[in-house]
Parts: sequence; structure tokens; C-alpha cells
Amino acid sequence: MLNISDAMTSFERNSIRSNDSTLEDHQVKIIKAPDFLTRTLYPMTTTASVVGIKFNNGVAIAADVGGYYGSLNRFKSLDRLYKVNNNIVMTTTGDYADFQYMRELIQQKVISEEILDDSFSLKAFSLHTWLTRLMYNRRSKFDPLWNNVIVAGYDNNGPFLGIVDKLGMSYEDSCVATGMGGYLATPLLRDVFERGKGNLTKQEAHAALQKCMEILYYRDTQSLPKVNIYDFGPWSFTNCFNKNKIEPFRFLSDELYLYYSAKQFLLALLYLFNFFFRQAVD
Amino acid sequence: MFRNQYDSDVTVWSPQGRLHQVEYAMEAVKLGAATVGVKNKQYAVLVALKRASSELSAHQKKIIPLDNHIGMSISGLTADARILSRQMRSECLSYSYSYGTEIPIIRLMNKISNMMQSSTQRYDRRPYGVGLLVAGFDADGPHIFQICPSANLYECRSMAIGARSQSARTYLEKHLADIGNSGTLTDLLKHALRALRDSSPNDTELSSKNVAIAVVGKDTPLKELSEADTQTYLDMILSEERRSGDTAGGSDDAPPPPPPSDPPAQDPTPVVAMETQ
Repeated sequence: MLNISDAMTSFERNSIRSNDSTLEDHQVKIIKAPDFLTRTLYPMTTTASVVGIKFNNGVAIAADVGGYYGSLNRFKSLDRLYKVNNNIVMTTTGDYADFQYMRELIQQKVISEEILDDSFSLKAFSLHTWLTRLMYNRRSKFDPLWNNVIVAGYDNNGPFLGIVDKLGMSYEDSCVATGMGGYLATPLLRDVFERGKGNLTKQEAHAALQKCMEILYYRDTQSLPKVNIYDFGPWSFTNCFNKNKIEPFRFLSDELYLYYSAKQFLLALLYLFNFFFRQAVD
Repeated sequence: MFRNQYDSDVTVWSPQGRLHQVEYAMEAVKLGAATVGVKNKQYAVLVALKRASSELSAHQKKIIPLDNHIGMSISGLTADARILSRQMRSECLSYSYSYGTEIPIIRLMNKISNMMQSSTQRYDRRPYGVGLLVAGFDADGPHIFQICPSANLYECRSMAIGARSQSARTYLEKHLADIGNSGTLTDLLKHALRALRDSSPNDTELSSKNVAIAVVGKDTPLKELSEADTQTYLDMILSEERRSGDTAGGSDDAPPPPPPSDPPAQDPTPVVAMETQ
């Protein structure tokens, strides 16, 4: 059985009460807990700009793979283009942990929806609305998710491209960019879009996104020269096993580009030589 | 009334594997006036026969709009339907607030039928005493759903519930292909009204006062027709000869089926209960 008096003695020895002479024997000093609830006041691991543009029958978005502690490039391969389902891709600028949290939430929604098995699936427009509600709800608790979100997708209503900021402000547009891209990239994208009379080809759209990412790399200096692009169009739901993700590309200086091309060329020659040599031996 | 040993509570099984309280609730649907739901490739339509509790009162509402794209028609306890419609309306609103689009009909139906099911499995509740015919239009096209007090949910091409509704169902079954392929809304409405007329009591003629019509479809938000519009459609079928469906139908106008005759004192024999030979 527990010896209560022993327990009390040890409690008093260790507690502040025994050191506090202003207290009577029967009194206990109650220390009020500090206000434990602190909100996010600044993001920790951050990610850089996202840019997106619509083209004649689809939509493409691009984001680099860097993760930052302030201006320190801490992570070099954070893949943050999240393919929600066969028709939607979503990504954020800002706190990477909050992005991961949102990704979990969305993933759970998608799974719950698949369980219903009723042939309806989440549309980009619906996800965009839902994220708007989510962000506004969190900012109304004075505890925002520290992200700007871009949602891109393609469904029966055509291409969709929308943006939500961390306060729940949202809009759809044919060219969007977050972060520093909002200042540096949107004017460029709009220019390209308007000169193409809103009817760009997929290649033109990709080129515009690459140009923007390159400019952001040099001017924002908070992104990496390695970029992922996703694009969506009618092809993505006619063939649902289609991979929408384009291979990552890098910006290279002309010298480096020459070097790599030469290297690739030599390797190819070597390979061919080897191939024929073996044939000859056989 | 139909006393028997195994109907004291919703949760009590009869040895035959029946839940008598739930079956009694199903009878409540047959007390309400008839209502018919039909659809073709563009539209879903509800028509209902309204009753007035006395000469002095107005006819009771039978069709309840739930959202821009969903409406339902009821038969049974109107008060229970009011609770269900409030729940359904709030589901519709919360879905369109969250997702910016109208709720798929099947999602709403699953939600509400699950809610109705819970009251058939708890000793402190009772089943809802109302049958619902829900008409709606979504990305999959027009839909007609039926929900029973037993919380069974059926998707239908056409359906009729309520008093004497067997006659209407007979009509619908006979013209099933015709209704599904009817090219125009007018054709569809005429079928629905003919079916409803087969279910109307012999001393009652359909009129713009006692008939309600609601239409929903492609690019057509749910709309209950005005008395004038109702009259124009009624005129199209009232000129026709009334079908002699009276003898074919009306089977459920007769007093409800004899009480489930459970052998009161016998011990259940497992062989029967297990349904195995």
C-alpha cells in the first residue's frame, strides 16, 4: 500500500512550497501555466515561388525543389507538386510542414471519396473552393496555414488554375504566380499569354514557365535551378495512367551545356562502339 | 389492432426474422396520397396528389424543394418529412459551401438513408413514417430515388408511392420504355399525370388544386409549376378516356395485409430461421 505521509514529505521537499516561507502549512503555491497556445508567427522551412499558366487545351504549373531555412538552402529535393488525383495537381509556396499537413488532409479526402465508389471524383474547382474555406477558417482562428496555394487541373469544364493565399483570399486566372513570382513572373506570363491571344501551345507555355523560373532563380535567389513541371489536358483523363509530370529540367550556362552535350555525345559514341565491338566478338 | 408477440419494440426480432415495427412504419407510407416520379434522358419529374384535411383548409404541400437541382415528394407523415427535408437542405447547403458545386444526388441519398437507418436499430427511437421520392439532376443526368421508412434506398427509372399507388406502378411498368425514351418534357409529364390519375380515388378528379408538379433537368433548375401551368398539362390528359385501371390496382387500398402471423407460442425452429435445408 502506498505510504501517504512518505509521499507527502517527498512532494514537499521537491516542491516550491517548501522553499516559500510566505506560505502557511496548509497553503500550496499555485503557479499559473504560461499561455501555451502560441500561433505560427513565421514559417520555418519554406519553399519558393510557383508559377502556372493555361494554354490552348490544358494547364501547366512549375515549381522548384528547394527548401529553405531563411535564406539558407537547407533541402535540395523537396517534391512539392502534389498530384491529388488524375485531374488535379496542387502545390504551395511557404511553410513546407503546413504543405505536408494540407497534403495529408487532401489525401484523406480523396481516399474517403474513393470509398464511396459513386463515380464522382474531386474536381480542381471544388478543391480550390474547399482550400479557400480551409485557409479562411484557419486565419479566423488567428492560426493561419502559412502558405499560398496553387491548384491546377483539367476536367469536363476545361482547364482550371486558381490561387488561395494564407488569409483565404482566392481567385482564378489564366496566369498565376505566388511569392516573389507574383511580382517577377506574373507580368511576364501575362505578356506571353496576351501576345498568344490566350491560345498558347503546350510548348509555348512550357517555355514561358521555364523562362520565369530562370528569372526567379537569378533575381529572387531563393530557388534552385531544378524545376518540376506538371501539365494537364484532355490527354490526362483519356489515359488515366498517363504521367503528367514532366522530367525535371535545369538551367545551364552555355559552357556547361556544351560540356554536358559533348559528354553525352562521347558516351553515346562509346556505347555504340562497345555495342558493335561485342557484336563483332560474338 | 395487429397485436402480436414480437412487435413491442423496433429492436425486437420475430422468429421469422422480421421487424414488425419497421413493417408497420412501411404501412404509414400507404396512408399518404399517391405521388409519382418519372424521368427520361433530360428531365426528372415529380407529380403528387394533394389532399385537403377539410373543405375549409388548403391542400397540403407534397413536394418539397431541397436545392436548385433536387426536389422531393412525400407520402406518409408530413411532420417526419419536414425533419428529413430540413436535414437534407442543410446537407445540400453545406456541400455547396465547401465545394462550390451542387451535391451529387447519390451522396445526399446515402447520407440521408444512413440517418434514417439508425432509427430502425435503436430501442429509444422509431422509424420515420414517411416514404420519399427524390428527383434530381447532376453530372450523371436525371435521377429518381425512393427511400422507405425501413431506410431502403432504391434508384428507379419510374416509381410511385402512397395510397393506391399500385395502379400507378402498373401504368409505369407497362409504359416503362416509352417513358424513358419520351422526347419532350410534355410527353413525360403526360405519362406521370396518367399514372397519377390511375391512383387517384374514384370520387376525385385531378385538378390544378389537388395536383402538384415539379420539374428538374438539364439546364432547368427545380421548379414547381404554377396552377395555370399545371392546368395546361392536366387538360392534355383529362380529355383522354380514363383507363380502367381501377380493378388492376387499388390492392393496397384495401386494409393493410393481415398482421404478420407469427406462431405465437412456438419455439423458433433453427432450421427455418437459418433458411438452410
